[in-house]
Amino acid sequence: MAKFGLLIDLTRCIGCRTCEAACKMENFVPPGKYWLYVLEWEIGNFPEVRTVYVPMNCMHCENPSCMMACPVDAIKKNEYGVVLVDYEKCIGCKYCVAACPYGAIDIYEEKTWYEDYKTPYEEIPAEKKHPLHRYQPGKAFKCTLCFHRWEDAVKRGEKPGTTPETTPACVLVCPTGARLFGDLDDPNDLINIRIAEKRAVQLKKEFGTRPQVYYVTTK
Amino acid sequence: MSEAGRTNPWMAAAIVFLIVTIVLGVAYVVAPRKVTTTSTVVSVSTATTTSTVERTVEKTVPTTVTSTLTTEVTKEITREVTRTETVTKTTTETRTTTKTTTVTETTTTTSTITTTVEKPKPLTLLELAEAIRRGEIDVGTTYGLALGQRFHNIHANVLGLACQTCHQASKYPEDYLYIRKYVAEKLVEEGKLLGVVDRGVCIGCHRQNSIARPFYMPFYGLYNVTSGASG
Ligand code: HEC
Ligand code: HEC
Repeated sequence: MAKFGLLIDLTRCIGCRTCEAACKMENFVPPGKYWLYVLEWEIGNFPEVRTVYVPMNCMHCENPSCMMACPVDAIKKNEYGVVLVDYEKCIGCKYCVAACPYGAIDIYEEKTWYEDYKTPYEEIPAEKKHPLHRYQPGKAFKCTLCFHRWEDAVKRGEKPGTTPETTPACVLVCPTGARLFGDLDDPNDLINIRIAEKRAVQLKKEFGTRPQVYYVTTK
Repeated sequence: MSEAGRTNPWMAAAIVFLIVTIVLGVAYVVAPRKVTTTSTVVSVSTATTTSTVERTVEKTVPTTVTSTLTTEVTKEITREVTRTETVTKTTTETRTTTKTTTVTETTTTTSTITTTVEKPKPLTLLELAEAIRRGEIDVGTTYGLALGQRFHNIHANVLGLACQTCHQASKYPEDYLYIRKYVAEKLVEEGKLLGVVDRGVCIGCHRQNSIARPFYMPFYGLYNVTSGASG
């Protein structure tokens, strides 16, 4: 069993939103919707003021509340610990949207970047895309931990995240190395070493969802 | 003189008789008289009257609640709290009349009040939740968040939660860790901004072993941490 997850070091994050942009490009996320969103707000009093940045995406929880709320079993957690939506089964009732404490899941709406024309990127037909990118209007969609990038490698028995090709787009592009991808079930994986060393925490533990995304909050 | 000196036995007997009579007579006059009255029952009548009254009890839903609800929801709630009560009162009266002037009247009044509520409402939130899950309460068949669909039918109409219970604030706090902030804050109903929903309100009812179907698990110390990584 493997259980893939992320470690996000907030002390390194500079709020550049490259992860946000990379995620959108990689996963054909339409305008107005985000799978990965960088929250930001100011803290402190002048002159000791600074901005807090918290990049957030699907937590790929061990107890996914979206999956529990789905009345048609359209959300599944696969053997690699990735929580995925089955667009064929989804009925668009939004119960997952209501139940997710992190706001990680949203409803796909067909929307183009420009009113009068589609960019070549938007013209790519569904059949040329990975099944995980064949969204349906009115149905749920969310972060897949870029499963399409490392699915083949992991099935061949390789370790994902060791090559750029098998690393989630958001992790790959981070200029400060604030994001780390790894197998939480492997005690020797760097992610587990860093989680222990930096006393990383999960968000909103009170929901008991057991997120697979950890945050480093202090140096 | 022995003849004359001898007492005449008849005389003596007469004297003794006289004395005895006087004593008895005095005793008769002096002794207290016990008056006992024997009464003969002439008639006994028992009357039982039963009356049944039906009345409709109406409770007014506080305006603080109704003002936040749609007319349809208000109607629904008013119907819920309007119920018919049947009150049965039985009176048994036994009247016994005797021949003498002494009349003994016994009146026994027994009233039994039975209240039957026409539409039994489950007593606890858990029973209500179970009734919803068994499909005994009509909450519609369309799964969805729009008003009129199951989600709001259950929470706002059946459970009677006011809109503000969930739609608490017009905006999430800055440090509220929630990705969909960008859409949720644009939620509107009839042109006016609808409050955002802090998902913390759902935990209590939707935690495992609570009343509603579980989406959230108990966190603290109730499961085994399998990997070396824990927050
Ligand atoms: C159990 C909590 C709860 C109660 C009570 C509640 N709502 Fe909601 N409502 C929600 C949640 C959760 C959403 C989804 C919000 C989001 O998108 O983040 C929602 C969404 C909505 C929407 C948008 C629906 C859609 O199609 O997306 C409307 C309109 C709405 N609520 C109106 C109301 C009104 C009016 C009431 C009072 C009668 C009410 N709500 C009571 C939880 C509640
Ligand atoms: C007062 C307790 C209570 C609160 C608070 C509450 N719920 Fe519920 N919820 C219920 C009950 C009861 C049911 C119906 C029984 C069941 O499905 O277990 C229900 C049903 C549901 C359902 C299934 C609806 C269906 O069609 O069957 C969803 C989804 C849901 N709730 C989500 C939420 C969310 C999201 C919140 C927080 C915004 C929330 N609930 C807050 C009690 C509550």
